[in-house]
Amino acid sequence: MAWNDPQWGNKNTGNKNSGPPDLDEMWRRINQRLSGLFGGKGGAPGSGEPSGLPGGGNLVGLLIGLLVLVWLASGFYIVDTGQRGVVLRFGKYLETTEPGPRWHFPWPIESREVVNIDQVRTVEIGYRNNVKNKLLKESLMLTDDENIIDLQFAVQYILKDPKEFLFVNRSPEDTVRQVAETAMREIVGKNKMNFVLYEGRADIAARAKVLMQQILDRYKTGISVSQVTLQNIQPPEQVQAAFDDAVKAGQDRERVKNEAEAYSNDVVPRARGLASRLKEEAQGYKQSVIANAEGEASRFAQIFTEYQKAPQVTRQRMYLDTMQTVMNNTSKVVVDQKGGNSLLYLPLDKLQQAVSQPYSGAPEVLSQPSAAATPVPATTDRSRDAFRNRDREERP
Amino acid sequence: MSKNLGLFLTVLIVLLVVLSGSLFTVDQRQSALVFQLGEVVSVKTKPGLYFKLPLVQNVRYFDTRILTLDSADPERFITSEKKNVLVDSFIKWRVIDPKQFYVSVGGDESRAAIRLNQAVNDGLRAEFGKRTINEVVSGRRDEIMSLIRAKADQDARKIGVEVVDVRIKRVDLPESVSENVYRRMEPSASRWPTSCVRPVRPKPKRSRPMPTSRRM
Repeated sequence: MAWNDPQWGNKNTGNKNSGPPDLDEMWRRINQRLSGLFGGKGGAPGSGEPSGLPGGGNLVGLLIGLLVLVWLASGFYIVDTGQRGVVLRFGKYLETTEPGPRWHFPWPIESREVVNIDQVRTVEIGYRNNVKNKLLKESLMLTDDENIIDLQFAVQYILKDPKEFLFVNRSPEDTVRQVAETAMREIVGKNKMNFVLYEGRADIAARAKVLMQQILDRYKTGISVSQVTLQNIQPPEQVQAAFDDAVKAGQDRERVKNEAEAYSNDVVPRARGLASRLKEEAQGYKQSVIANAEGEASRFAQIFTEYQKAPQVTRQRMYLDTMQTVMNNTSKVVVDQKGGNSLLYLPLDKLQQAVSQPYSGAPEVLSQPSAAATPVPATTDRSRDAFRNRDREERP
Repeated sequence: MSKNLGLFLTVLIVLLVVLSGSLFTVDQRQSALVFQLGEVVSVKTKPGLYFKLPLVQNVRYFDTRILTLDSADPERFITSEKKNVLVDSFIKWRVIDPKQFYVSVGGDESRAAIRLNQAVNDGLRAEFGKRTINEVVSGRRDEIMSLIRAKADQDARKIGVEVVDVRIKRVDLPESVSENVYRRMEPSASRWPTSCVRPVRPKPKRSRPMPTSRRM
């Protein structure tokens, strides 16, 4: 039923060169008869001879021949670099032609479509012509954490298969836009706002590209996505101010942190120094106190041995020592008259001086009696040192 | 002689008329139905040149390319948390059975589109009603789309149409809710430097890319 390919293909191969002259001849013959007919009609009835108007017949033949030539010439076409020609025979895809001059059977047998496959085409999503010229309806997207971001991007693509591009989809270019939108929204919807806004930019473009290509291949659009470029990603205008504040706060934070670091660099070493000094002083104090205590202990032990030898004497001595200490601090002068010493020298002024001396003299006085029994001056020296140390410690 | 010629011409013209009436081509992008006095006698799904009876038979062509149905206005759906969302989707479909297509919708693409739109919207409504916004926006997007596609495709076969794909473009919150989202985003904006940027970027680089990204 159909005039199928092979039949026409055969005819094609056979007729490619001989076809046109054949037709030409046929037309010429028809032409001759036509002219004869017209000649017959135009001339007087009965005398209808083709020779009557020989020039006219030739002219008509020539005209028709010319028409046929023009008809054949209409099958010529040129495929530019970067283009591909697609030839259809009776509506059926026949071949894809490479760049160069080409010829196909003219209408109504064959027809052609020339598509530019290498030309980079661009689709803009979320804006038109200029990034400032926003289309909020396209550019606002929901992220995974239910925030809204404002994203504008462009998709560049070329054609990889002119046949698919022409015949499978009705409007492949619009399809690119739809696919770009759905792919980008899917990717953005799967990520958190902070990722999309800051770290994930390159990643998102790459993933959107892959997803777009998958979808376009599924639709057999014959399109190859060459690049997805994110023009602008930012929070929506309504919260822009807050985000700017946040950026400023971030900078402030940085600045304050640097300042704080500088301050800590200044303070910390000083504090360390102080700490180690205090520690050393404390160490010194500790040792002096221990030594002092040990001294006291050994003195007591010595007194104790003396005491055991002669309890009465020692007790008397201790009593006198204590009394001496106690009396030392009073301004009263007690004189023992039993001795009957008539000449009593009382240097009151010196006694007063001794009394008015600070209490620190006390241990000295205390240690005085024992000095006779044991060599203790070292101990007293140490104890004095200890007090001096304590004084020094208290001063700062 | 002239009688012969006249005869020849007449035959030629008649032949031409008959040929033009009896030959037809089906384009790569089309398929065709041949009617004989209103009755479908054959279906041409392959492109090429075909014969038919002149006058008695006529031909009707159908575009078999993948068509897009992209509704202009987003539809409003309710998710399982009783939240309203505006959803914009598009449907890719094509005629695979021209006869069925002609019988059920009269070969009218817009009528088929209405029918498809209904089927897809029903599917969307059912699926959205079962899911939360978060699932719709991120997690289960693929799943929802393929479910709806399968459902719509099943329905579309009855009118001789294949649903190639159903894809959700926009899932947006209604205007009033968007305002709330913006309000919620404002304090969260102040959280980002600590919550996200610090662990990732080294110290000196950290503050620089952010302002530039904003200005671009």
